[in-house]
Amino acid sequence: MELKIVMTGPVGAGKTTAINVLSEGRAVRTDVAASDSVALMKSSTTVAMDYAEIPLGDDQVLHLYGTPGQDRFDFMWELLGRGALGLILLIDSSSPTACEDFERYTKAFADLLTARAGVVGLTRTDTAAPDDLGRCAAFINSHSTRLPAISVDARDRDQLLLLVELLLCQLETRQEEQGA
Amino acid sequence: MKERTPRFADAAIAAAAAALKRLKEDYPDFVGAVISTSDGHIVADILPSDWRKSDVAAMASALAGLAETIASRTQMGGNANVVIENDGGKMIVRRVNEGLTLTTVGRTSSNLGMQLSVGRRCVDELRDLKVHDINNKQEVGNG
Repeated sequence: MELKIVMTGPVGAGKTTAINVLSEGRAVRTDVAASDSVALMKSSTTVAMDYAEIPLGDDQVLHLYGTPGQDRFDFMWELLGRGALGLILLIDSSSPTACEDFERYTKAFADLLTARAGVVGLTRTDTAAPDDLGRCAAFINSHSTRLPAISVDARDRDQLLLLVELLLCQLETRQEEQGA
Repeated sequence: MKERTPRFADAAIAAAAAALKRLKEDYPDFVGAVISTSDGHIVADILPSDWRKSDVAAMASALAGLAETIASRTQMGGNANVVIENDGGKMIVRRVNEGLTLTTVGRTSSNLGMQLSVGRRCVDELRDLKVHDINNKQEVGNG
């Protein structure tokens, strides 16, 4: 079974790292040098997509597409979202704009989230101030999208696989609901 | 993270704008052209005013990024340029250097060879251009 999943989220949330870690370094990347304020955070940025094929066992293959984070690349969000079965949204929980970021991306991918399923991975929880993290988690938990959220280290494959598993459970539940 | 448009140094913008002016003089069949950073910010352009210019710059950046990745993944070396032939005209996207990209737009009737050749001259002229984001002292361009 082939599963197309999109991973999105703001710049610096850890999308490229996560896809690279999940694919054990075999991801297709389109990084270029950052010319703007992103360069203060990291040297390169994704301009088209990241892609990796990840075998999940039981004949399941995950085709994972990572979007660029910046709004100016939102045409890629739409392109990559076509035909996707689910969405993984990574939010940098240490960012002062974490709640706004969540709002922005759930709005941009509203069609996919309504028709399919999504999960949220809260990254950089180790550097987030406890109050900020609590506020961010509370905001997501009380949001109308009702997306399950867990904290995840984008460098840790096991944690990422747990996030993927959570999404697959969500998909299964959604399919059962739609079939009922 | 809040997105902030970079502010490039006036001298770099002037050099890019002058190169685009010469490009248009060399081949009047160009409908437009834009020099943008490799991550999709406009440095200078002569695109039609009714186009969404920032979209063109971002899409050119995505195309060049994908082209380089596919060339590398198929062991075909570097990418020279991306040619898009549309019903309404031809577009060519090519790197100026590591940090900059040139996109030229020709009419349907324009000669692809001329478009490539004149574009290459413009790229040669700008090969050493570096653009400098005044906001955060970040420098992009060759080397």
